[in-house]
Amino acid sequence: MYRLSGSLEGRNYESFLDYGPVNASRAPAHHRLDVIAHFTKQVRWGERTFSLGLYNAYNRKNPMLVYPDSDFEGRIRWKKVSVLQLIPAISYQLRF
Amino acid sequence: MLLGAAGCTTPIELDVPGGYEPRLAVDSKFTPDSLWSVRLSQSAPYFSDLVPPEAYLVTEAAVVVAGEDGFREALVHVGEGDFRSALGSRPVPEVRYTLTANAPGLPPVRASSIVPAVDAALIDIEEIVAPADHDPGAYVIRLNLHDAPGPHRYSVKMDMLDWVCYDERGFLSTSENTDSATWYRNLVLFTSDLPSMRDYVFQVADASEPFVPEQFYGEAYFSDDLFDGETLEIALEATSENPTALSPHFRILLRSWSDALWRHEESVDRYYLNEGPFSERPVFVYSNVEDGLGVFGGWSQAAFYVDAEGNAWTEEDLKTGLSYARPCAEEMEEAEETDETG
Repeated sequence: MYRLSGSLEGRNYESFLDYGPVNASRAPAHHRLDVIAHFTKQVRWGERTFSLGLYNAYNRKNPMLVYPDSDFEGRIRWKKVSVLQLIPAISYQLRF
Repeated sequence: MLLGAAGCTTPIELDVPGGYEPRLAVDSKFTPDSLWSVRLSQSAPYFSDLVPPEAYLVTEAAVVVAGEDGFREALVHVGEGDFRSALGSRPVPEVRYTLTANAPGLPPVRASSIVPAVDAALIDIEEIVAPADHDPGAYVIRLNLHDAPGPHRYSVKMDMLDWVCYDERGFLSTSENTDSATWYRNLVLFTSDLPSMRDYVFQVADASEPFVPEQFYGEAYFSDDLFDGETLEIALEATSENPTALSPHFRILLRSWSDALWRHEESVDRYYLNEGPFSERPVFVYSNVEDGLGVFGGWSQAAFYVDAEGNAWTEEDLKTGLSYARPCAEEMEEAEETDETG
């Protein structure tokens, strides 16, 4: 960030952002472990499968959105928004 | 499920390979009417803790301005990052100047610019609506502008004088005392017969696009795309927001801008019109400073001081300047004493 005067006559300073090259920064990496167990049983009329699983099994707070924000002291910090962390999954399938 | 679907916001540190390298920011908008002046500062990481802006001023640097006419001067630091001519040197129109600045710990920078000359004359002023108690009146002011071949960018700025004093809070206010100081506080609203005139610098880029503002508010911008190399008569129909007891005294400033400063101001307009600093399409503020930031550019101007009767006036004659202004209470006391003594 840098500042320049807003006009020739006055000294009202304006601040501008010096963006730098594109893709010069990296957000935190996005990774997760999905685990699922299928319990399949043959029945008279077909097959049924009961599944139990966990998406994002180690509950990582992956960044969905990254944005600048100021804290209560006025300092500007990057913040990330994470959603859909540890998600249990259950399903029941019938095939006939 | 509810726990899994819950969102959260947490602070993070972004990985910026190589870190942030501060650069010199040059703030030099020069005009032949002022001494050479350059203000230096350094850029700071956006996410640094807030410090006073003064901490980023650069007070130690070798700043040199050189002209293609042989002029050369090392500017002297006079405080707050300001480097000025100690010899009273001023820019000359149509001369290309090069600025170099070297500050410890920062990459050296270089910039080059030229201010075009402006060749203009006041033709006349005509009263079309006489001022009355609640009516500021209206006037047509005609100017001749002789445009040199090649691309040029101009602006016209208009002011009117008003009597002024300082109120109890220390702010400039209108005075009723006819012996008070004067200052340019009465904004002039004007329309023009020049179809390429625009409200903002960035709007001038396409002069063919129809644009009909109700009135320009003190200043307007235009290019010579429609009259390159020709002499143009410009008519400005002017009025003001407020009637004033002071008979209209106009100041008209016709400016010819350097390409660098015009492009800088154009990008600043777009920067502030952008959705925000981190929008999808960030706007980069134009800089002609090599390896640095900011702008080295300026304008030359033709100034016309004319009253409603077409007479020229001077700032000395009318005590124009904030240094002449006094507290309004003093002015009122003096006015009452004058009334009492008759």
